[in-house]
Formats: sequence, structure tokens, C-alpha cells
Amino acid sequence: MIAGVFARVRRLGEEVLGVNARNLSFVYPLNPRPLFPRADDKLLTKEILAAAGIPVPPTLAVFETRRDLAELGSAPRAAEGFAIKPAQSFGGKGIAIVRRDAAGGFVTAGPRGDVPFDIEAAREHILEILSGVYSLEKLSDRAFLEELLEPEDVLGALSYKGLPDVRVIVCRGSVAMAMVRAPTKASLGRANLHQGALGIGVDLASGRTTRGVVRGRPVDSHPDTGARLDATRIPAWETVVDLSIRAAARIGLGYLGIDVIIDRRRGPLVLEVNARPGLTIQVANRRGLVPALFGGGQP
Amino acid sequence: MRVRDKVAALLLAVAAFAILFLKIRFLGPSVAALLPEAHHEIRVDMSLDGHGEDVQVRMAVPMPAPTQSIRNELVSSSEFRFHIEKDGENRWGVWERAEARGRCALVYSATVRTEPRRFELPAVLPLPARYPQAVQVDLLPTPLIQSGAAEIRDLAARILAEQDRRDAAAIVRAAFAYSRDAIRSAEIKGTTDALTCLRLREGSCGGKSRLFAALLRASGVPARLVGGLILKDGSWTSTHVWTEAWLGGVWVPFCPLNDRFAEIPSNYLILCLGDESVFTHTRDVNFDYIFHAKTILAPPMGEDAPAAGLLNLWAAFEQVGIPVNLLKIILLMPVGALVVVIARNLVGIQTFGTFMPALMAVAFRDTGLSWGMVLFVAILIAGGIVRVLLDRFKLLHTPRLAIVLTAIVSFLILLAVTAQAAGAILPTRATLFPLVILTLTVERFAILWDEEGIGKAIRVTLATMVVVAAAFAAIQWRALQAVVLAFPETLLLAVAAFIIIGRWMGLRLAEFVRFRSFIASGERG
Repeated sequence: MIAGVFARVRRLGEEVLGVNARNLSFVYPLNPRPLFPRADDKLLTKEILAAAGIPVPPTLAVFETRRDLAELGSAPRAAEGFAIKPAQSFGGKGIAIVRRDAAGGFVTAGPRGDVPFDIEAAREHILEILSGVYSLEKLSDRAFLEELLEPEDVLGALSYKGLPDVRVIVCRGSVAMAMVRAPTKASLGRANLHQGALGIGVDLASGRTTRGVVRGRPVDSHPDTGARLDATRIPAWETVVDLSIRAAARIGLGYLGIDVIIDRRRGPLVLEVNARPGLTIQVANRRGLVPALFGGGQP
Repeated sequence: MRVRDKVAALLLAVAAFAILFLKIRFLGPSVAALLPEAHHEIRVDMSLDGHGEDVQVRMAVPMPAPTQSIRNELVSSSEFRFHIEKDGENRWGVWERAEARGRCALVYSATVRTEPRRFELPAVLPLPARYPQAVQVDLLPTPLIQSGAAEIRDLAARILAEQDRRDAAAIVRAAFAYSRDAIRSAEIKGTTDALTCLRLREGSCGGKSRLFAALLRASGVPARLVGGLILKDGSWTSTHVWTEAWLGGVWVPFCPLNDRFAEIPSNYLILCLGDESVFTHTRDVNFDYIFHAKTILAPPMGEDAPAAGLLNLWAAFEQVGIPVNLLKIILLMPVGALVVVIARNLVGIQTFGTFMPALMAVAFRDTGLSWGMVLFVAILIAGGIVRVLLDRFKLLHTPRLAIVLTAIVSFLILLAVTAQAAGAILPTRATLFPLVILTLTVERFAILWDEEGIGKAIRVTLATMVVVAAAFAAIQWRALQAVVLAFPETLLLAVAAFIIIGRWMGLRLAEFVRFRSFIASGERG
């Protein structure tokens, strides 16, 4: 019994990738600092990927200075809904998802249901982004409006509102691990694991979901619906893998987390890329990254 | 770890030990003079109210003695003239001012080193036929040590067997046992003479010491009182008195109250010899005093220390007038950093800022750990309240932080003023450095609160406090201090450790907890 626990602790130490090893073996050597903005600046990422013919969500408007706010009046009117995003922020900070409610007015999700979100609120939020409120080490930032995407039905069924995505870890040109990130009630429609979203492991060969993680704890069923997590096959899985590998190659960093969204109308789109992808994906997959990254060998 | 990391770490370690070895070889026995020793920083705060009269205050200041040495004497005497009067071995600090008016504050401070001394008394020590001129006065009765009184003489005769009357060793044993055991120890204000002490059958240090001295004098052994302080970390107002007996040609210390037979403990500081008051002053000036002391490490005062320079940083720093305290802070910073590095990279504890805990630990040297923690939490709470109040204004990050800082500065001033009014020690301890460091943590706290919520900010606060306490324990560890201060080359070992930890690929301790589901289930996907 004790020996069994000890052996498992040892195996944990050997197979799970920690922050130290991630930084020393992958982030530092494979992701040169000067290239970081290609991953950290969402607008720059989109530019690079779009230029290479990789599908990305359409940008409605970009705001670089206060003066650009004049365009705000016309931009969102056409859309069903939109997302306001800072170009540089981590962990989903500063992203406002705005949609039309039944009455046709713009609303955003709050802790106690939808709250109205008018042009004035949008203007204030963009001003906050421009002054660097959400990108703490920077003095200023750019803001942009993105078309609101609609999840297709399969992954949409796993999510509470919001937009699920697929996080794919690409290391030196091959996929090491993947998970679906599904918004939950607790995460207020955000697909960020830190904010309580559900992570679901993915079998790389088949594109089937396996089991999940919520707030760092392993789960086998959906926290909101109780549905089993291992019954889903990710639509267009081969395309998701292909896009991730191509996107990683274009960005030019050797160790990346690629976030792919599967839009109802447009299919798989690369939403953003992350130069220091989190490690909780290992809990969702119930397996460590070390064997996948080192081919079973030791660092 | 790569070969180059191992080689670099190894070379640094070898270099550290090589320098250490060469230094010890080169310096020989005088290397001991580099090792810092525990000293006490003492301060005496005196105050009085003048009403236009001429005022004089005399205080017995510490004297050099075989068991103690004094340096860095400083006096602050506002408008008083100050001089030192010598009277035999005693030194009197004298403050004088004509027509003193209003509240006056006088301060005496010094760095003292005291060491214990123990005397072995022979089993039998015949009373000499006559004593040197100088000690004969210490055989005579005085108004407070009534060795000529019948009651004292009877008692001396009663507690001594007939055959022991000419044995000084037996006399001190019997007189000591009597004044220690037969007299109840009691807190007594004011001066108790030997006879009163005997009649009341209770006494404090003064009564017991005078009774002991009277019994010795009555039996033919010269005895005198010694006035001084019992040093401790903190503040206090009582002076202490003990007795010395002239035995075998030297003065041997005894303290019947604290059961010190023929020994002086390391925390006794001698202020004056003879039955003198430590303070004398002009009447009716509402004179008051308080003693403060703090244990510090300081270089030894020996003369055989190596010349100033790289071999002797102490002396080098003293030559250019940089306080030894600053040298300590500088040299101990890497030790604090080592604790932080271990906490972050091996244990996986998230703290405010990278080296903020090390800085806080150094800052807490001034306030003490518990007061420092209290200040830390108080400042964070004050900052948090202001932040909540500001929430509705939806200010930008930096201006909002500036308001929080301004509020904290006001809070600290308020705290200092009220604490001063309440007579607390806080204001004297909360010097600029800890306050600046603690105020900086508010920014870290606010950022974390913004980014990851109040729960996370509180967790990181607690984690920071744990790491600060660990770093504090490390930098306050006397033995480690002594080694690092005397042999700064040991810092190369710290660098070697930083290299090894800097290439440490293993999981952090906290990650074993984070991924514990891998242990619990043992299953594979």
C-alpha cells in the first residue's frame, strides 16, 4: 500500500511537467523573448495568421487611440453581437462579450444574469483597455471588436453560454496534448480554467473527449448538466490539428498553446495563441506531458 | 542539470572553501577577531519638567570592567551641558542646565558587551590578618548596611558554627544561604536597609544584598554593593543591585536574589560600585527614566583584529563611516533571497513580488517579527478598505493606487500619533525603512486583487507571511549571521545554490499537491 503510493508519487514526478521543467526545457529554449509579442499581442497574431491563410475570427474594428472611438457608433450596429478585447492581456482579462437580447438591446453576462451594455458602456470599456488597465506591465494597449462567434452544436452542448474552444499544445511541430475548454455557469461563459471553466481531455488519435477537470480537480461529468464527458467526438478534429500545427509554425515559437474555436458557420478558427500554456491540461487528460514531449525519455 | 551548471556550482563552492581555508591559514588565531559577538545596544531615556530652576541630573554610566566593555557612547542632551565625572572606577554622566523650563528629554546610549564570569571558591579560605587600605572601608557599618547592629551581629554568630568563624569561604556560604532562603523575595519600592530587611523577613535585590553585605562585614569579610542593570531585549524601568565580597584578593560577585553564588551572569551590566543610586537629580522636576536594550551582533573589540580591508570588512566599513548595521543588511540580503528562491522554485509558494519577502524580513529587523506582521496586515487592511471605497469611482489603475498609498501614509501618521499618545513602543520602532517596504506591498496586493480576486490575494498574503517568517528566522539566526559577516565568501555558496536551483527541473512541492489526483487514482487515461 505505502509502496504503491510511493511508486505513484515517483511516477507523478517523472511524468508530470512542472513549471520549472516547462520553463527550462521548453519556454526558454524554444520561445525566444523577442518573438513573444507574436503570441502575446492578439492583433499581431491574427495579422500573421491571416496573412498565411489560416482562418481567424473577423475583426470588426481596431481602436488605438481615443480618437478611434468615433467609429464605435457604426461598428457594432450591424452585428448580432460582438466581443471587445484588449490586444494584450492574459487569462481572458478585459474581454467583454456583448450580444443582443430578445428585445434587441445589447447585454453582457453578469454574476446575476444579463445586464444592459450600451454604447456608453462599450466606450468606457474600450477607454479602460486603451489606458492599459488590463495589460498591467504596459502603459497602453490596443482594443478591438471581434465578430461574436457561435459554437457549433457538439461542443456547444458541453458549454453554459459562452464559447468553448480547443486548446492544443504544439511542441516543435507536433501536437503533444489537447483539451476542450468549455464555459460553465461558474465561469460566467468564459473558457478560462482559472475562472472555473471545464477542461476536457482529448484522445489525440480519435479526437474523442475523455475526462475533465474543474478548478484543478478531476471530474468525469459536467458540473452543470451532469452529462458524461467521454461521449463527444470533436467535429473537424483533423482540421483543428492541422490548423494548430500550421499556426504554430507561422508564429515561430517552439512551444505553444493554440486556441481553436469551431464556429457554426465558419468552421475551425484560430482564436489566439499562448507562449506559456498552462499545465492543468495534464489533469484533464489524466496523463503527464513529459512522455509526450520527450518521447518517453528523461529531460 | 547540464555539465556546465554542475561545473559552475562546483567551482563556486571550491572557491568559497579555498578562500575560507586561506583566510584561516593566513590569519591564524587572529581569525577569531573577525567573528562577530553578541552585544547589547542600550538606551536610557530620561525626562524631566523644568520650572525655571537650575537642574542637574547624574546618572551612573557603564564603566569598563573585566566582564564588560563599552563603546559608541552617545548622549543627546538638548540644551543641557554634559560631562563625565570620574570617581574611582565609577563614571557619572552629569547633565546640567540653568533655568530649565518645560519638558526636557535626555538620552544616553551605548553598545556594551558583557560576559559571564564564575569564581571557584576553595572549600576553606582563612580570613587574612589584615586587609589592604583600600578595602578596609568596606568592613565598616553604614546607615544602610548596619553591620554593627546587635541584631546583625547575633544573626552572624548564630548561622556560623564556632569552628567556621575564621573561614571566609564558610562565612560567605552561610550568609548567602541565609539571605537567599530565609528572606522572602518581594517587589519593594524604594531603598531597604539591611536591618529593615531582616526584620521584615522580605526584600528585593537591594534589601537582600545589603543584608548579605552586612552579615559579611559583621563576620570580617569586606563587602560592597554593585548597582547595575539586568539586560534583556525590550524596555524596563528597574535597576538591579548585587554584592561583591573581597575574597582571596579579588572582588567576587554574589546575587542572593537571583541565586548567583560567586558568579556574574552575562546579562548583568555594572553601572556603579558602592551603595550608590544610579540616578540623582534636582528635586521636584518629575524625573522619569526607562531603559531599552536590543541584542545585536557586532565585531569584537579586540586589538589583534586583522587590518581593515577585504580581510576585515568590519574595520573597512567602520573606517569609511558606514554603520555596521548596514553591512549586516547588505550581507544578509542574499540569505533572505535564498529562502525566497527555495520557497518559490522548490516549494512553489506564490508571494508578493520576487524579493519582497526578503526585503520585508530585513525591514522587520527594525520592528521585530510580530510587530512587523501586525503592521503588514494593518496596512493591507487599510489599503483594502480604501480600495473598496474607491470602487464606485472606476478610476484608472495608477491614480487609484496613488490614492491608496496616500491613504496609507495618513493611516501610518495617525497610527504613530495615537500610539505615541497611548505610550506604545511602536513609533520608536517603526522607522522609515519598514514603512516604505510595507507600503510597496500594497501595490502588489492591489494588483493581485484586480487580477485574481480577493481570495487569491489573501492566500498570497498568508503565503508571503510564511516566507517572510522563514527569511526572518534565517537572517536572524546568530550562528549564520556570524559566519556570513566574518566570512562573506560564503555567499559564493549561495550563488552555487542559486545555480543548482535555477536549473532544477523537478516538480515543485506544491505541484505534487496540484497534481495529487495522479497519486490518488493511479489510473492512466
